[in-house]
Amino acid sequence: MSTAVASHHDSIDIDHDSHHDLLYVKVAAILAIITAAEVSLPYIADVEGAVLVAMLVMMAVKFFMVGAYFMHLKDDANLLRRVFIGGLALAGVVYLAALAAFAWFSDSNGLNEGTPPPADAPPLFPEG
Amino acid sequence: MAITEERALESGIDALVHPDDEIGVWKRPDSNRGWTSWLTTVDHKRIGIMYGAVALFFFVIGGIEALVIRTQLAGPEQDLISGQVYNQFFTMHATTMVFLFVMPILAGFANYMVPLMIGARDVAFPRLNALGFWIFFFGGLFLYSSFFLGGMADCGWFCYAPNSLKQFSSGHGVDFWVLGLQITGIASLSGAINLIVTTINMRAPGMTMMKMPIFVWMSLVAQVLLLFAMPVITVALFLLMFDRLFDANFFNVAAGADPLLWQHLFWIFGHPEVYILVLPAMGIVSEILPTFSRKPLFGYPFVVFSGIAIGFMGWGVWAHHMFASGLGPIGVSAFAASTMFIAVPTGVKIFNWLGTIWRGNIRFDTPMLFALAFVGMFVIGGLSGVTHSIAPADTQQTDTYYIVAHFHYVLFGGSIMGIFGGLYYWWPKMFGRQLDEGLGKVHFWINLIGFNLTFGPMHILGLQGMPRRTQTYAEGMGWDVWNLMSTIGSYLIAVALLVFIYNIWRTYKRAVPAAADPWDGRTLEWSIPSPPPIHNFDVEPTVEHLDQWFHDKYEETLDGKIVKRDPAPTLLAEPQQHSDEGEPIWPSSVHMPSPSYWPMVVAAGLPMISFGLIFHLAISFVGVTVVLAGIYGWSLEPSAEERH
Amino acid sequence: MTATTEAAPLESEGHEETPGHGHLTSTGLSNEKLAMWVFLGSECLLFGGLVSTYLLYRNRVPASQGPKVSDIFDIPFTSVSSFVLLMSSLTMVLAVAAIRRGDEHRTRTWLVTTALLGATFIAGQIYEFTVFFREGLGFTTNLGGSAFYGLTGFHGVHVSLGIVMLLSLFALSARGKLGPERAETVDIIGLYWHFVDVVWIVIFTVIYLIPI
Repeated sequence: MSTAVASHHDSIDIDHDSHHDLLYVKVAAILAIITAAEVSLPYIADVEGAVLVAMLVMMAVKFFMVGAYFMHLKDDANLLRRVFIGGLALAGVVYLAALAAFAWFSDSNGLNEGTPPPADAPPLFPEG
Repeated sequence: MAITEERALESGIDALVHPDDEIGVWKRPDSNRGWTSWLTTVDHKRIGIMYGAVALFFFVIGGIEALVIRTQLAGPEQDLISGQVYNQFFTMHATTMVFLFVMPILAGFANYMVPLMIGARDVAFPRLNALGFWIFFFGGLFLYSSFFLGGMADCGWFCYAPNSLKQFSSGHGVDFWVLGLQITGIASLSGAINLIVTTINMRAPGMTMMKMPIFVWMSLVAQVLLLFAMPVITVALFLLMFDRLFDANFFNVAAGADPLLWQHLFWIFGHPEVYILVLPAMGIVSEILPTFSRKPLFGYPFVVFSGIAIGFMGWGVWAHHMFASGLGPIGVSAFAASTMFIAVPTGVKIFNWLGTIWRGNIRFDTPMLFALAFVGMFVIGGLSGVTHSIAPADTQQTDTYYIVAHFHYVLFGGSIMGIFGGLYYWWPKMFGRQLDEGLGKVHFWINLIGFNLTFGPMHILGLQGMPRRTQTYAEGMGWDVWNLMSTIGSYLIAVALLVFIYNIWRTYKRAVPAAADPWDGRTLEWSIPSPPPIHNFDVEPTVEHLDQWFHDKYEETLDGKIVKRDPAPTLLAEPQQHSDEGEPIWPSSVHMPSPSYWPMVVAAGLPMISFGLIFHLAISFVGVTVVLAGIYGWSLEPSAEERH
Repeated sequence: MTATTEAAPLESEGHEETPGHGHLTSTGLSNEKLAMWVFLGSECLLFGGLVSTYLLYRNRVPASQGPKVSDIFDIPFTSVSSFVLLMSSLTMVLAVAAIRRGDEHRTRTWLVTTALLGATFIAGQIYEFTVFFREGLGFTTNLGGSAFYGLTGFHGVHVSLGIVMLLSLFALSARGKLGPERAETVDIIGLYWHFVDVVWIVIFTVIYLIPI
C-alpha cells in the first residue's frame, strides 16, 4: 500500500494553515451574528410576509456557509455538491408537494371542518 | 454451491483458536474453504449468490401463500381459511414478494454482475456488502418468526394507519412487520450506498459512464431511488412504531391526526419502490436482447436517459395510489397528468428494445424467451397502468382485481420474467454449468401460459367489480369461472417453478462445465472464466468502447461486415489456482480483502433489538450491545492488507 | 479495500491517485468520502419527513389536549444551545485542519472540545425537554408533542452518535493510531457532524422561530 502524498483537493500546505483557521473563525463569527439577528427578529416584528422570507433566507445562508466552508463543498469536487444538493432538492420538492396535498398552504391548514349536511338530508345509515 | 473446485469440506474454525497481538480478539479469518467460509465471506460473488438463494427460498414461501389464496378463491363462498388468516396471507404474500424476493434477488444480480461489468475486483466496501446480506437474512427470518409468535401481520403490505394501530390490530403481527421492514431497510440502504460508490468510483480505466453496460446503468438508477426512498418509509415505520409501542399520536385521529399522513409517506416511498423493482430487470432484458439478436442495443443513450427520466418522474406520481382518498380535484388532476407522462420514457425503452431485435439474427434460447416475454407482458401491464391514470376510471378500478391484474403483469410478467431470464443467462457464469435448455423451455412455456391464465381473467373480474383483499365472494356474481381459471393458472405457475427447481438439481448433478462465454456475450463478465476466479480479473481491463468484449472478439471489415478477429482474444483471467491445502493462489500483488465475522455479528443484533421492543426491553439492550460490540470489532479488526 | 495490481495503468482518463489509500478511483475522490456524501443526501429525506410531519401537525392540536409546542418554547435558552452547536462545527473543522498539519495534540484538543460542546447541546435538550414535560407537554400528550419530540429526539440521537464517534477518534489518537495519513477519517466524521449541525439550523429556524 503506498503511503499518502499529502495533496488533497482542498490542498492546504503549511503556509496556508493559519489562513484557513482564520477563515473558519470568521465564518463562525458570521454565523453567530446571523443567528443573533434571526433570534431578535421575531421580537421586533410579526413573522409573516417579508419577515418570514428574511428568516428563511438567513437560515439558508447559514446552511450554505456551513456546507461551503466547514464541509469544504466550495473547494471539493462537483460530484459531491451535486449528490448532496440532489438529496436536498428532492426532499424539498417532494415534501413541499406533500404538504400542498394536505392543503397546508391554504387558510384552513388542511383541517377539513366541512359544512354540515342540511337539516332535511336523509340519514347516512338507515335504521334497522 | 462451491464456486471453485469441489474440495473436502473443512471449516475455517482454526482461525478462532489463536489470539492475535492485534486489538481484535480473534484473528481475522483468512480461509476461503468450507461452508463456514460462506458465513465470513466478503466476496461480492458469494454474497450475490447468497442473496439469490435466500430470495428464491422466500419466493417459494410467497408462492405457497399465493396458492393458498387462490385455492380459497377457486370457488364462491368457500371457507378453507378464515378472514383473519386470509388477511395474513395476502399481507405476507405481497410483503414477501416485494421485500424478500424481488428486491434481494435484484440486489444479488447487481452484487454479482456490477463489479464484473465495470472491470472491478469487488465492490467499494466488501464488509458492508456482507452486512447487507446478513441483515436481510436475519430480517426475513425475524419477519417470519411472527408466524410462530402470535400471528403474522394482517394489515396489507401497505399497512394503512390508523387501521394498523394497536386498537384495531391488537396482536404483534404488525409490530413484526414494522420492525422487520426497518431491519431489511437498513440492508437496502447500505447496499445502495455501496453500489452507488462502486459504480461511480471503481470503473476500469477508459470506461466512462456512457460506456457502462446498460444493466449497470439501470442498477445505478435503482440504487439511487433506494437511497432516497428508504428514508421515507423509515419515517413512516418509526411513526407507526411510536404509536403502537409508545402511545404516540401520529395517527391518532381522536388527537387530530390525519390518516392520510401514512398514505402519503408510504406512497412517496412506494412509487419509487416499484421502479426499484423493475428497472434492474429492464437492465437484464437490455443485456439479453442484444446478445441473442447479435446486434447492439438500439439507441443506448436513449435507453440510459429514459431510465434516468423514469427515476426522476417516479417521484412525482405517488398519489395515484390515493385517487379515492379525498385529495381534492387539483391534487387528483396533477397526479393523473404526471402519471400519464411517466408512460413516455417507458415507451421509449420498448421501442428501443424492438429496434434492437429488428432484423437481428435471433437465437430463441431460454434467456431470450424470458426477455421477449418481459417486453410483451410489461406492455400489457403498462397499458392497464395508463388506464389507471385516468382518475375517474380509476375510481371504479381501485381496490378491485383490475389493479391486481395490472401490478402482477408488470411485476410478474415484467420483473420476474426478467429475473428468470437473468438466471438462465448468467447461471453458466456464476456456477460454471449451463441450465438445461430443454427443461428451460418447458419452464418458460408453462410459466407463460400459467401466468396469463392466472392474471388475465383478473382484468375482467376487476371491471366486473370484484373487490381485492376479501376472503371470499358471493355466488351468482358471474365471477366463478374466471376465479377458477385463475386458480388453475396459479397451479401451473407452481408446476413451472418445480420444473425450474428440477432443472437446477439436474444441472448440479451433471458435471458438464460451461464455457467462459457460452452465449457469445458483449460485456466484460464473459471475458473471464466460468465461474470467475475470486479476484475476477488477473489484469485490470482497459476499456475503449461500449461492449468492449464484443469489440475484442469482432471487427468490422471495410465493407461493413462483422467478422471474428484472428487470433481470438485471450480471457482476462486464468481459472483460480489453489495451493495443496486448497487455499486460493492469486497472481502476484493481487490482494483481496480478508473475510470477516463482524458483519454477521452486527446483523444478528438487530433482530434482538426488535424482539426486545415487542416482548421485553432487556432483550433490546442485549441487542444494542451486540451491535455496538460488532461495530467496534469491525473497525478495529486487523486490516486485510496487514496480513500479506 | 480493492486490490491493486502492478499491471494497472496509472494514467488514463479520469484516474487520479487518491490520498491515503493508494488505489485509483474513477473520480479521484476516495470511496469513503463519496459514501458519506451519498449517505448525507439520503438523510435529507429522513429529516425532511420528520420536519414535514411536525409542520403538518403543530397547529392542529385541539385546545383541550394540552399545550401547543410554540406556547412553551424558551427561545433565549434554545438560542444559546443553538449557538453552542454552531460553535462545535467550528471546533470540528479546526480539528480536521489540525490533523492535516500533523498536529496530533491539537487534533485531540479540538476533538474533545467538539464532543464537549455537543454534549452541552444534548444536556440543554434534556433540560429543555424536562421543563416542557413539567409544563404539560410529553411525547404522548398530543399531536404536537409526538411530532416535536419525534423530530428533536431523532436529531438528538444523531448528535449523540456523533459524540461517540468523536470520542472514539480521540481514543484512537491518544493511542497514536490517528496520524495525518488518516486525516480523511476525521474529515468524514466531520462531515457527519456538520450535517447534524445544519439540520439543527433548519430545525431551529423552522420549528422554534417561525410559528406558522
